Amino acid sequence: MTLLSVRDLIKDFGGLRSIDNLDLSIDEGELVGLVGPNGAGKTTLFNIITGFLRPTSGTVLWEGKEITNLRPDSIAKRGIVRTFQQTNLFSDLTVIDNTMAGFHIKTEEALPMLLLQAIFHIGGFRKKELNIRSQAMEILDFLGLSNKSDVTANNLPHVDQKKSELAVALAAKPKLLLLDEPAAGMHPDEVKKLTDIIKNIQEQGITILLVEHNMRFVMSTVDRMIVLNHGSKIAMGTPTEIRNNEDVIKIYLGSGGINA
Amino acid sequence: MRFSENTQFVILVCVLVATPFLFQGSYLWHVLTLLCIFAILSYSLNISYGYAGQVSFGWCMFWGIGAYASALLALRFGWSFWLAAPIACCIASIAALFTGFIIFRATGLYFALLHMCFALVAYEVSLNWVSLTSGPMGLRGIPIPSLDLPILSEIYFRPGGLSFYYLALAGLLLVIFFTQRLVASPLGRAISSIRENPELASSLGVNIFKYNLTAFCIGAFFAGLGGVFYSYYFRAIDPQIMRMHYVMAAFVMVIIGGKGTLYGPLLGTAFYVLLPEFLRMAGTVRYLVFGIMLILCVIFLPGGIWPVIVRKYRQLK
Repeated sequence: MTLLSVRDLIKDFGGLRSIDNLDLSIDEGELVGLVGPNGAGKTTLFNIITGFLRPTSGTVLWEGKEITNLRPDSIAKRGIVRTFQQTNLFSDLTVIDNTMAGFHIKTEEALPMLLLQAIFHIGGFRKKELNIRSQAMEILDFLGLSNKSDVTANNLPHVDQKKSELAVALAAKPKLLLLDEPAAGMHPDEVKKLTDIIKNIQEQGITILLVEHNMRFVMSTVDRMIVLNHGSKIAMGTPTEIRNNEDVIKIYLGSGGINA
Repeated sequence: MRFSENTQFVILVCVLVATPFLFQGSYLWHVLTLLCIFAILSYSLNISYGYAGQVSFGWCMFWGIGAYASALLALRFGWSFWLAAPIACCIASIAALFTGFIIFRATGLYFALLHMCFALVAYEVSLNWVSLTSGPMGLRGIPIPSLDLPILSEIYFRPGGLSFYYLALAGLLLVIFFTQRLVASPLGRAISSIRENPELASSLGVNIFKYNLTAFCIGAFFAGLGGVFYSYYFRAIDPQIMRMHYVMAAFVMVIIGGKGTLYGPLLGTAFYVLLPEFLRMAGTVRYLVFGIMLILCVIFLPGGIWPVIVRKYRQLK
């Protein structure tokens, strides 16, 4: 079943065409890698899918329904959750508090109830909070962060910050998880662990689309790859196919190569 | 000793209840009452600016609307304080709803300027809609709140007296209490997340517009309450209450005291109200002093003075 479908997408920034008539689709349960040189339009695509940018034209369909110009929070509520290229956390909160923040989508009450809760502290939200806290700890366990749950986010080393971002995204119980350079700045050992974690997330039934520059990581993790250049799709296929694709080799020649 | 939030609050209540008896004479009561009234204003701004991160440069309009609404309800319809006050606060909130509905479509500097424009419009309305507000002459003769208790005789809360101080104090404690409640609730956390990282909050399903508007209206409700107490204390108000002067005062109190903290606004208000009294400052000197304090705080103590006190206290243990 096709979960996400992008059709005839165009994004212009003034005179610069960042996304050029792009079509792509992601089926349920897939683990897809989106690659391409810098400036290929990968993060722009993420921003359009998640509502942070409006496309110049084209449509984004989610579960068959159009989500093209919706706000980011509406899109998140429909089950599409993303991480960001630059580390994006609540820097003054602890890891566990950050993770608990991710549960907002699923636990948000209607406004009148929220106001009553705020004034009278009713609605059993304390109990719900304990529940959320234990669920958050499970996620942190899964990611190997449970011994750092009370560390403030901006005191964490880079790799743990990246993992915390992942924890927050998982807390939002996504159907589709968009990961923007999850392996950036990671040590090769950590990258290997990340592959296992992401495959495990896929096994839990979450569809994943990730953007990465680390080719070895992408090729050993994903089922299918899409290669972008100058805003359009130049190749699509399994990692093996992509590795041998001439067009792809051409655009990467001199930039570190595919066999890095 | 680690003071739990509840203990802190109880201590505060005891201190503020007992303070009037420290010195002789009603001058202290006057100053303390002013402290309460302006602290309510600070706490209201603290919700909008301190917790929600909204740069509400037009904040005085809600305090002014609260003052005018309560005065008009009392003078034109003869409503008692106990009815006029909450209704006036609701009117201030409704004004915030309409204002916010428009201005929250903008962000940052544009939001601040738009809000200021609305406040200037409110000022002009109070100045020129003479049939409603009596224009520059303002409204006067606002009645004294009274309470008719079954066993005791009627209590009058005369401005300048001890009873009015306790009335204003009750209002302040209520506002502090509700601020504490709000912050610890899911609503409060959603609102804080917008201040901390709006992009992340949005990607996690927080409807920025909705929560901004909610925080704005809650803050405006309390600002209205401050205005109500102002109008009943001075028993006369005029369009000057809508002027930017009160916005600047509120920001000074919140920033110097500690924005986004529970007792920062009280500390900041204490500075603003009490310091000039104790140092016998003339009007212009006061502005100079607070201007300098504000600049120093923004540069060296962006979190305000209250967090410094908390830190020093913890270090001493």
